[in-house]
Amino acid sequence: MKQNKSVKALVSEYFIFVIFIVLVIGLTILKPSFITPGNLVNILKQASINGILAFGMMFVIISGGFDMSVGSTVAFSGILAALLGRGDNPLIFALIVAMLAGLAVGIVNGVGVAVGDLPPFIMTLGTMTAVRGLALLVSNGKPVIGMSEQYKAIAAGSFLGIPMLAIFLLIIIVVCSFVLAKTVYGRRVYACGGNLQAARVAGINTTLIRISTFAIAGFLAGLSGFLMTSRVTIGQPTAAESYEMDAITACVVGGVSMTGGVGKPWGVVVGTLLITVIANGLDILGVSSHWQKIVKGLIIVIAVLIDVKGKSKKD
Amino acid sequence: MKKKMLAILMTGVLAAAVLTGCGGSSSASSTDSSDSAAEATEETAEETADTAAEPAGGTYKIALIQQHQTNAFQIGVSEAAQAKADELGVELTILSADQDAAKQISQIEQCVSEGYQAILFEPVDPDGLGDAAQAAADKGVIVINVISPCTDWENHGISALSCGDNVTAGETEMQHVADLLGGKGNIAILTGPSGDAGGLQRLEGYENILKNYPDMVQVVEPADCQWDTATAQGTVESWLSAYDLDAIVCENDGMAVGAGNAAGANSGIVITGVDGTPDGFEAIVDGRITGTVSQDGGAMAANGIEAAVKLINGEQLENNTIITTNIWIDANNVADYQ
Repeated sequence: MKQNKSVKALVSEYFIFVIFIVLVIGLTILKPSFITPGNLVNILKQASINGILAFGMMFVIISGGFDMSVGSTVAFSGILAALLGRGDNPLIFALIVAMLAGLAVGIVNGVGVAVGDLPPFIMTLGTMTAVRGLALLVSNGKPVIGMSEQYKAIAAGSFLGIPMLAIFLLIIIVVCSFVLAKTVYGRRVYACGGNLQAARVAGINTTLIRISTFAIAGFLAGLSGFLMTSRVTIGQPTAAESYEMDAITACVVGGVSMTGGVGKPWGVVVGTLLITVIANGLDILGVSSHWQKIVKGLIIVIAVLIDVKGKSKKD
Repeated sequence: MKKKMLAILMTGVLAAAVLTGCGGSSSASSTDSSDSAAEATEETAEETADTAAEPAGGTYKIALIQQHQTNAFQIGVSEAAQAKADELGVELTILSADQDAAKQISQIEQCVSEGYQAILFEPVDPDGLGDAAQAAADKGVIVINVISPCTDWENHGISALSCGDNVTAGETEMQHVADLLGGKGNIAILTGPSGDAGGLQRLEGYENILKNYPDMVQVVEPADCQWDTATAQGTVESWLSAYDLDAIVCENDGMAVGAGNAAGANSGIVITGVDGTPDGFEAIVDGRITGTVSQDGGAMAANGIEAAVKLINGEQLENNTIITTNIWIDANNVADYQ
């Protein structure tokens, strides 16, 4: 009986992984060009920016928060990076400014939520709107062009056949997974999301932990903005529209619970790959993009349903 | 207490954010939307242009309500409108509806009650603004529709329409693609948000031309890339690993640039856009895209303002539909437009 239960729990835990494998096999059968090395490189490139955002989002959601502002932050930091990435400026300067801008937005979010006691949805809705305005203001509403060749080359380049974007993602995955799973800080993030009161009573500085999770999300959004501009070769104030939703989708599909305290980095990796593969696979099959929306929506609902059902069984 | 203060402060910040959001150039709207209509070099509008009226007695107050102000096309509209207003000595107020039809209706009502003599607007929705225009016209305000037409605009009190023609823009683009391919090849189309009026008209233009070329085959369904460069880039990367494409026809320059990034410079694939925005020009120069059909939104707005001044003066318009024409820009003539 007990064994039966744990099997069910196991199934619910790895369900999304199984779906992913089935999807890959199915797409390969339907369209063999799906599995060619060229297309796998495409998938890695397309997954990278959302993956980096999803990892930032993961910290926020596990600690019990929610961040609507990352899409706008990507656009804003991307514009700054674009402005600084013109001419002969050293690129490191553009990278640092983009990440600091993201970090600043993240800290504002964190302070509003943890100190100001605003609901994360409201706070980050505010910054989402305001930061989009900043992006438009700084760029005067126009796309920023004229990036230096070396800046464009970052996202276009590859190392040992692996696209540079994916290498950035890989570094973020390794670092974030380590921090979340192996450090005291990581355990405190889970504790804040599991039960904020209990964490506070246990002597954890919950205010600082929560601010830091938003700061991480903002910082990674800044990095994404820098990479995004390099990838599309222009800085667009309207770019990254609703990227926050894709990041949240990757988390939720990957088993990060919206109520906080639960979630594993590998799940987010699979969640990110899953939504990328759906888009890529349906593009390759030549399916209308309207269907992609329907499929993506269904996957979100099914994933959360499995999550909820799996939990009620464990109880 | 401290917490309360902070909460109040935060609310203030938020309110400020929201207010600036309404004020003008922010709003998280999608790129381009219906950058409708066309370019003017040899515009049919010249007739109205040349005889610009002098304002008689006092300064005229004219309002221009843009669909949004979040891309190069729309900023071009603002700048050209302001320049024309300065030239004619009229007082111009420029508002942005931030892609929100309800907001645009409120703005029209507000302009009527503030006593503007003429209102120019680009409808956020071709069907949703007719009644508001009629109401303004009933109060004696001259209403001019710019850039993309309202459905059945003549019957909603609108005095003149200054726009390009999206169908023609689509036809021009696809005709050049057909010529470059010799009327034969695999093509794919990237569209703006499904249901966008400007996008649908461009698509209609494509289809008008494709009818004549049975050997030009769409190997995939048109993809909705939301006017967005990154989205287009991902879609085209995926396509190129599965399909042999000879041309990628895009409904705006932003998406053409994304397709060009995916294909690489001088890929041999014909990649085209519509709009003639700086990012498109840059991509034409370095060989990532082949060409674009330029849309002169600025001329549409400027012609609209001239028409407004004429009508306020009590003059007649020779023609109340002012069409600006579009032109093909590629590596040969891009330097003239940059």
